[in-house]
Amino acid sequence: MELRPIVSALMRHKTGTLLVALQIAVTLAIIVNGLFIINKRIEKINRPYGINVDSIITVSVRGFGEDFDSGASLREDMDLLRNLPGVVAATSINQIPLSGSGSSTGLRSVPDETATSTSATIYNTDEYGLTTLETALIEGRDFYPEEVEYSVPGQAQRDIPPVVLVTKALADKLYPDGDALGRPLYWPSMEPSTIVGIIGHMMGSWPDWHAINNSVFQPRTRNNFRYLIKAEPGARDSLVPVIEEQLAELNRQRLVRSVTTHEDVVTRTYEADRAMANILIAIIVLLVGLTSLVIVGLASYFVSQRIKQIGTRRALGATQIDILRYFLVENWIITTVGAFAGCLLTVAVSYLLETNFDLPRLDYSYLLVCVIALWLISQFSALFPARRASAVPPAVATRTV
Amino acid sequence: MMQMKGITKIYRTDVVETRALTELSLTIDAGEFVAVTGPSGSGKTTFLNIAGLLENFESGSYHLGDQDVSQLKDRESARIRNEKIGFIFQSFNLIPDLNLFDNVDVPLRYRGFNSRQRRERIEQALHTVGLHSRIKHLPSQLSGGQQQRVAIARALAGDPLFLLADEPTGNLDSTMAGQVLELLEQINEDGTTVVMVTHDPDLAARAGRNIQLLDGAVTNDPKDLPEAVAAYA
Amino acid sequence: MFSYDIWNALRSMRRNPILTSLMVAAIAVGIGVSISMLSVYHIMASNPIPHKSDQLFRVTLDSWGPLRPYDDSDPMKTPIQITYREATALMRTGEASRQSAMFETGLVVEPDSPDLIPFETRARAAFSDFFYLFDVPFLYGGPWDKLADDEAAQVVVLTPAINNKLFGGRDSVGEKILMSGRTFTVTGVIDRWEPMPRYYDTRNGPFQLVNEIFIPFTLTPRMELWSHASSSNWKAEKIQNHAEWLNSEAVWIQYWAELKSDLEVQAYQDHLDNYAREQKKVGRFQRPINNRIFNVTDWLDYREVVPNEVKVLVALGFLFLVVCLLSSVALLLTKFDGRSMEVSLRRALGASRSALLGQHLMEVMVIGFVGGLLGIGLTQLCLLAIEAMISQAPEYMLRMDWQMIAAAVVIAIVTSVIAGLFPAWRSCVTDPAQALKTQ
Repeated sequence: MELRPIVSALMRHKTGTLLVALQIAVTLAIIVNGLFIINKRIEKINRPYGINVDSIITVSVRGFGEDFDSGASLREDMDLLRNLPGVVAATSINQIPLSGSGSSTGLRSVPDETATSTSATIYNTDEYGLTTLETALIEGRDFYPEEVEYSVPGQAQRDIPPVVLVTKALADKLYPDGDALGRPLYWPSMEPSTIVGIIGHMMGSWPDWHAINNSVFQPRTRNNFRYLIKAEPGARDSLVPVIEEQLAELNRQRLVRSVTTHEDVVTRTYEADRAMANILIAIIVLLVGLTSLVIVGLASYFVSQRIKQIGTRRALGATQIDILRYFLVENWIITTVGAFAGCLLTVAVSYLLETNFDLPRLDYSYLLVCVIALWLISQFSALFPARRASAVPPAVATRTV
Repeated sequence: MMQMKGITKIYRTDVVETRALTELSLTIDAGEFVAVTGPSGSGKTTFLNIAGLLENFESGSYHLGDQDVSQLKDRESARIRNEKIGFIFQSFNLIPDLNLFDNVDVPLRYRGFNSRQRRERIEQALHTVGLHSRIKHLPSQLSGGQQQRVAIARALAGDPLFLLADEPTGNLDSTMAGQVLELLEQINEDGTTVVMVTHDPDLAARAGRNIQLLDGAVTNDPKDLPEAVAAYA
Repeated sequence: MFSYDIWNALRSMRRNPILTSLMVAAIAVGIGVSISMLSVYHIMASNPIPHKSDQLFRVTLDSWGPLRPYDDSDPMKTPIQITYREATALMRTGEASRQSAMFETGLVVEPDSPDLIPFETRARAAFSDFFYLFDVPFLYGGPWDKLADDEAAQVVVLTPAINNKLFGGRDSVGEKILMSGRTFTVTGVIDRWEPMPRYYDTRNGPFQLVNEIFIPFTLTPRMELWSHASSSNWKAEKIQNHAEWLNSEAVWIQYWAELKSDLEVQAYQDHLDNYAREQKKVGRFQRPINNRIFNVTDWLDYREVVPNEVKVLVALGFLFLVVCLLSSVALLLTKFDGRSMEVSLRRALGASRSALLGQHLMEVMVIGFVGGLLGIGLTQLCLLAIEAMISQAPEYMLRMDWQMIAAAVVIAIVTSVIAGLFPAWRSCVTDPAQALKTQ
């Protein structure tokens, strides 16, 4: 309603006004791009694992000495672990899911080296693998105990297991028609294994990998130097030292390298993502805090500079609400100019981030949300000085300086 | 038109209690040109603030026209100030960031006139004070006398019940002061009531009626002579 | 005059404590955020061996299979590691003043002392040239000799940590250690050595500490050493034993050479290409000849060791600094604006325009100085916070070196002068009469 006189008053203080608007613009550019990155990280961290990470303990062992029998050692360890009170299930595995390290291969649905292969994480485990991970089959069956290969001294390794389990993501990649069960998959050596079961969902080892959801399970424990132990609810943390001690005592021919919770392993894997999100959150909080403080500071200053003018306006018939509105509208104009410039700047910054640092394209709905948030924050910040202005008594007008 | 009865105003701080007005009573009729005088500390400014509804008072009553304006809420007193009172301040109180048009426009905005009405009134008022040609100028581009004439235009534009002037020539040299006073006299002749607070006896002498204040009460009002004598007795 | 300026500056800061502390806070926070991001970047992107980074070359060969390139997104990219076959051939025939093949493995140390239980350590199999290539500092002893390389002697160079654990930190040269069932003789203990990034093996943790002991590469076949780090293979090979592994097409070895002139570089490149041509004759190297060598800085760029995340954070950190700068300018502008009366008065009392400018600038400098100091403290806090969030980060990766402290100071002063110059100048050129009139 009184936009034009406010604008012309602002135009008399162009530099200060433009500076605040510019600050709001840059703030918007940082907040929008920052929030977008944060959200992408949170989405990444929150993807379902398909594993009950919270109840699992992980162990790494390493045999040494000339006459170390890894097969026998493994069986002894498994016997010990499975009979420990508080343990629900235990298995050996070649790599710990979501640990950031492991091995992968390329698989095909046809025995043709020139056909495009599908990348997948390789898990070697026994018939207790899925139970321990709490990863559910949606089709087919689990491994039979007799299908699992153990290492026997002097006996050569079997080439390729006759049966495998695959995740649904991998099954759908190999057989897009959804009829993967019972069909073969071909290893890089062009030897086939039959898919006997399909796992609903489970993540592999590297969260950044494009094929994170593709995994293949072999019934094999040879060279499995890692154990997964599923604890009863509440028993996990007290089991960790027990396992460490009892395994170490059982066999002095192998080292127990690390006994830790799977939760810790996964937390470490996502550490950089979490750090990135936290740093950005801190930057945004500081930024919003600083910008609102500057708005409060400048508006307070303007109010104190205009006490006489406010008194005059009051004497000439302005109500307290009129004065409050005057300062809020003034703030709104500055914020809006800033937000408009900020939109352009945001697009420019996001374009630079996208082209230089391989960031995904900005989702522009963030811009809308942030502009609205900025309006609210800015108005809220201006409210305090504006209230002070509205409390200026009209009798100020008759006071001589 | 303006009627004050037994108005008492007390200023309180934590330690001191000052009686600024004591049982002040006076009546001003439509069309008068009244000067309110008195030495400093006599309650002139308090009278001005109360007459202009800029401050509340402890006891007594105040009527403007046929309306009791003694105890109004902020919103109501703002409306009365806006519609019925035209303020003229010693230091002009123009808004430095606004040009003449926008300065005169300030009270009209709060009045809620539409833009055509406002434009007509502003132009008319600036015409009356002879500054129509400088409508786009900023206050800082004018002399003190011109600034005060703009303030008068601002006071007139809303067609008030009366003009309330606070030492209108206090910040001006004698030539400019003379011009401003002539303007006020002319406005009065055109029918607008003028109440002027001043400490300058020469200025007061030019008013139709001179009310003297001392220690927060009327000591000499030609209109209420008997009462004043009675007070002295 | 100088002390009068300072006095005026402090007085003026006291008069507007909220605006002043806001300005100080804005500068401090801006510096804290931007410099802590820059510090992380600075360390990650630093040249780990500046005096010879242009003479050390990482050697890569395109030994990949015929069907598809090593990297589908860029067919010109060579595998970053090489096979055991190429490693041994190059060690035999390559003409460089120094060169070494190397890979990371693990050994189980079985201490003599009954108090110590066996433990596993990371170990790097390399040639004696490794220590000369990378100027590895020694605390005790030194590298093994060339003869030990040739004979695959059981010798070892320890890290200070392992030397402390096994020998209480004393000079252990000549001592014996049982590792993975074999007795090794200590020839040396390296001193604190922190190449950052750990450029010689970027594939396996470029920002990890050097926490590996060193043994001769030539022990690989006899001890059946496997790579404990990444390996990849284009060929579907059935690898049943260690000999087959060494003979496979799997790439798992890093290779570095020291080449002192462009001539030597060219000669080495020619040698690689000739080698590839020879191999083509026996059916290997079926892709177009594409062998690439990189000096240290090129290699770090090629491997993109500085994560994009860090670059994004630096960019946003400096945008943040821009916001702080804008805040300061806006705050100062209003502050000086409100002082136009005083300026007019001082001008009237005989202060020259430049004297007033000096007075305002002094105030700005004081604010910048205090803000900068707080900013350096804040940077340390930010780095501590980042360190707390990233357990894998070595502590020295997140510290401010003197360059960063200098950068913080310079940025603080430049920021505050930029922030203050315009407002100070503007308030000083204001027409005094104008200022008085509008009051």
